[in-house]
Amino acid sequence: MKFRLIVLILTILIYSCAETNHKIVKVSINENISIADTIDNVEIEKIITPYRNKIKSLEQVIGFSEASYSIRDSELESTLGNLIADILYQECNYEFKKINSREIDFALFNYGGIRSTLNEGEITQHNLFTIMPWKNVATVVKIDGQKVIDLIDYIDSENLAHPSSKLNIKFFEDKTSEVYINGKKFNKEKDYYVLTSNFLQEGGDKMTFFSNPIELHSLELNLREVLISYIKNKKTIVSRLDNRIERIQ
Amino acid sequence: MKRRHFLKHIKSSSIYGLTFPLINLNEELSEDLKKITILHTNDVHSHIDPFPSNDPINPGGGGVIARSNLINFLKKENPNTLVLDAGDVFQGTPYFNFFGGEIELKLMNKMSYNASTLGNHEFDNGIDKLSKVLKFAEFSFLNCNYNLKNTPLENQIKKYEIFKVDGIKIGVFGLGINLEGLVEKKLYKGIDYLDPIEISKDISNELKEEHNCDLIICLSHLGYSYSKDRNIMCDLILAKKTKNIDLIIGGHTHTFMNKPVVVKNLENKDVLINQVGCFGINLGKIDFYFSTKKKIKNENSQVIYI
Repeated sequence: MKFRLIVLILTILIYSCAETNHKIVKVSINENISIADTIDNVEIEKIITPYRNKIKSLEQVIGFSEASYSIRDSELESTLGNLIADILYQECNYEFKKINSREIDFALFNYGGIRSTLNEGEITQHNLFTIMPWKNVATVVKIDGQKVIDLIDYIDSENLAHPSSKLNIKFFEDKTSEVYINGKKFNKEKDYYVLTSNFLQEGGDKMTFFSNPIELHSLELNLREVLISYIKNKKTIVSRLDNRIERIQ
Repeated sequence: MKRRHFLKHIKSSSIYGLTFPLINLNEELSEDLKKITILHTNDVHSHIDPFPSNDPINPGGGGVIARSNLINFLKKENPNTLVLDAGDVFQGTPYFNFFGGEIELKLMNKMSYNASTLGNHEFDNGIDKLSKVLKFAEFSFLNCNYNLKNTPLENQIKKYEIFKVDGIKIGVFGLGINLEGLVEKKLYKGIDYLDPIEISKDISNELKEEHNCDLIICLSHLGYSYSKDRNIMCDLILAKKTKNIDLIIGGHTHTFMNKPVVVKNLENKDVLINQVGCFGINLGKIDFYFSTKKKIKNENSQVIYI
């Protein structure tokens, strides 16, 4: 009898000490909530203010944009991509020519490298940082015709508006294409000088055709800084789509 | 006045978008359930200030102040809350270019984040600087599929962390994407990428069987899915090929999901996947209700989704 009682007490003790098995019985699947309000938060503001003050100079207006330009406003090109690639080609080609006494043939960057829109109206350096936050520098590679073919195939299969300049491609439905580089018909026997970023040259975004080039030139120019100094001089920025890379249906 | 405006705003946004039938609320009380709320972000990318009012897509959206207000409000509603992030805290505004990530982490401390994971952009200043800046974080960065041996991060990154909230044991672990092609090699030298599936199986099994976790959450920076190639490792594949995971909080692909999806795992049990886009525009909120009964009559009873 006594023994039974001890066993009973022990059982109760062990049972009550054992961890409760908490089982999920119900889950509320809420819609994701949009974050937006204009209510102050002094404690958060206190943390941000000293940092914000240090970068206040970036809020100075450096130019104007005629319209809002985005990387997502067409198929294989975009207003913002065209704008950025054309400015970078023009400015970097000028620098490259000074050093090497020859021209860059075309430029290719990546869609994923453009992180934000350029809004209509005043442009600040802060805007440029959000569009192109990277440390990437302008890099020129000399690659052979086969690698240019790989590059064209890459654009075709990626099907994204990778920013380009001086490169015109018409992709036809029968899988053929017509390619013009800097106004001249593409010749696969020729080598080409291509402007890109050090990130892409090193295989970023799987642009492996830029790896192991015949020649490699680093221009040591930060791409964002090139854009900023161009906008400072030019003041008003305009861009448009021009079917530089398109599919002919 | 301001407070009222805030409440009004919250109600008009989608928090209460799903109205709870009264009958459910009553049932909830009678059953004496424990409620754990998971709040989460991903790919905030140093977006500290809200978007400008002339932004064509998100005018005035996001910003740390609004996020902090919202988290505070929701935590008052249910103090038994974890705040989690799925990586790419860094890179996207001058705050990162000039201060290397310390302000992002200080603000996350203030917003009471409990854990995050390593996104590819965490490596944008290189592994050494990442290791230094992580000292500002008062919460853990979790990752179990990067071999960090002999790197400065070796003793800084935990594979998982277990949180005990209102008696509920919550195991959280982290997964990162293959950095090849996403980050310059010299910036992540020495890190080996390991297959997320096998490691997730091991870790979630350890959390379930050895640590008796009641809820297992994976913070994943693998990406939701890739339309270009359905075989690329992603959250959908992870969910289907593993077991024991209850919730995958995703990132990387900047996927603006309307609400979490429920998919089946290896054992045909439910896994939730959610991702809230990017730039601190949205916040995810999932409430888990746990039975407090010592004995559960039917182990395989269906989870109710409300």
